[in-house]
Amino acid sequence: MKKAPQSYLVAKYVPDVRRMEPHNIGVVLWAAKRIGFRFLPEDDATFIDDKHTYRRWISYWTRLLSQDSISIRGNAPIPVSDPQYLTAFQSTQKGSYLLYDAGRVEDNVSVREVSSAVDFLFDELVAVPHAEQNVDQIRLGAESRRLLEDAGLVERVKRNHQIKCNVLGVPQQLSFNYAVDAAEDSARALMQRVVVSNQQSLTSAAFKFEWLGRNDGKAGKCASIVYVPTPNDPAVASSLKILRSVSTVLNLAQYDDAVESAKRLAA
Amino acid sequence: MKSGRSKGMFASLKFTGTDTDPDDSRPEVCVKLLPRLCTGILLFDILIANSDRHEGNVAVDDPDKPTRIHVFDHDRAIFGIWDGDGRKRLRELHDRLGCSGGSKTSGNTHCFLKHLDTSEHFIEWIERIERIPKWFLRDICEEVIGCGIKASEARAAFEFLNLRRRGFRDLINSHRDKFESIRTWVMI
Repeated sequence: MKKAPQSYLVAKYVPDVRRMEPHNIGVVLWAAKRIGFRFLPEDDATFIDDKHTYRRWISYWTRLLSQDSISIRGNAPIPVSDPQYLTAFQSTQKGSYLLYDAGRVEDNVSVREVSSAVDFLFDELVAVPHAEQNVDQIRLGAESRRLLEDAGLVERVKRNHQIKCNVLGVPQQLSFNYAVDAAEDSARALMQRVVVSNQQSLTSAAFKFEWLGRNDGKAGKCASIVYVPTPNDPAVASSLKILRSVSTVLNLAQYDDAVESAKRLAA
Repeated sequence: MKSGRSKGMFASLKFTGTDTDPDDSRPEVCVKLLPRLCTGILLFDILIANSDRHEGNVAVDDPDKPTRIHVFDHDRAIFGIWDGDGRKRLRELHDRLGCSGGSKTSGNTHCFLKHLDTSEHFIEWIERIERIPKWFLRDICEEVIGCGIKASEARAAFEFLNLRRRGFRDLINSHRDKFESIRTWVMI
């Protein structure tokens, strides 16, 4: 049966298929003959024991969804523009990693709106918004997307892009929220959302940018996206100082400046 | 072979201890990093006319840097999948690779066939295949009589495999064009 236009799948992880108690881990939307997707970052998937396998699934699905067509088990390639694309992608589910036909988006979604629609579905179905910290993250996420739109970068941005980086002699995959003009292990610019009040968010971003810099800095220009209405407040000034030492800071509270800085980074 | 009349049965076996890995093997990476092993898998599948070696029937430990490859699902080899058509299939495929997804073979094109770009390891595997003892082939074919396979079918399977083994070098040489990424052939 053909998928109706603007259908979406919800990716689920089922720890024990006998109990069938799934956790939502991502959304995949087909709309405007495009595909949009977003998966739960590994660090947020606290219910996953086998992180290695989770990483493989997300990497596998991301790789498939980033191509112009999909070919499953030797079958003829189905282009992204084909409504059957989603059905073909759904057939990759296996074991504890499932793809549920979750419904349709009734509003007409244009090409420019695919990304926003995916974020809406993700926030509704996958993100866990009950902690205050997560509310900040979700708000920051929504504002970041507006920033990318106003800077004219939406079409050039890849989400959750991974860069191989040598950390203390150990090869690591560092994930960044947004990569402008992404290529393998590089991008024109790498952007990370940072909740400045959250120590883990701050140190994680600083750690990633610091080590990218130590790995000859060729992976791309780095930017931290923050929302800080009072940048001179001593409570946050030191945090911003840390971020500025390793990246360009795009402060959404100074929105016009942030948009211009984003444009310059991507130029 | 699928058969409604046989007393045998199929069951799925879970052979991983933890969460199931995705079908994320990348044939082009496998042949690049493990050309010897991939050559062996490809030639073995040709020997048994396995028309279902897609990337989903190949499991790797690491899709980007595989060090181990596991192959599984051989139920379309030898007799194919259509009940009663097994011997016909063997007659049709005796001079074909049996894994190219062609008009007679059907099924899926072997996932390594178009990516393998060296014939360096062919001699080793061809010699191994040619040296499979005749008695061994006869024994394993007779062993399945009664498990959904008739004696006449077992005999046909033995004759197919034995002839294929003996003429394996010629079979490969006459289908060099199917190995589209191999530019230079070592003498086989």
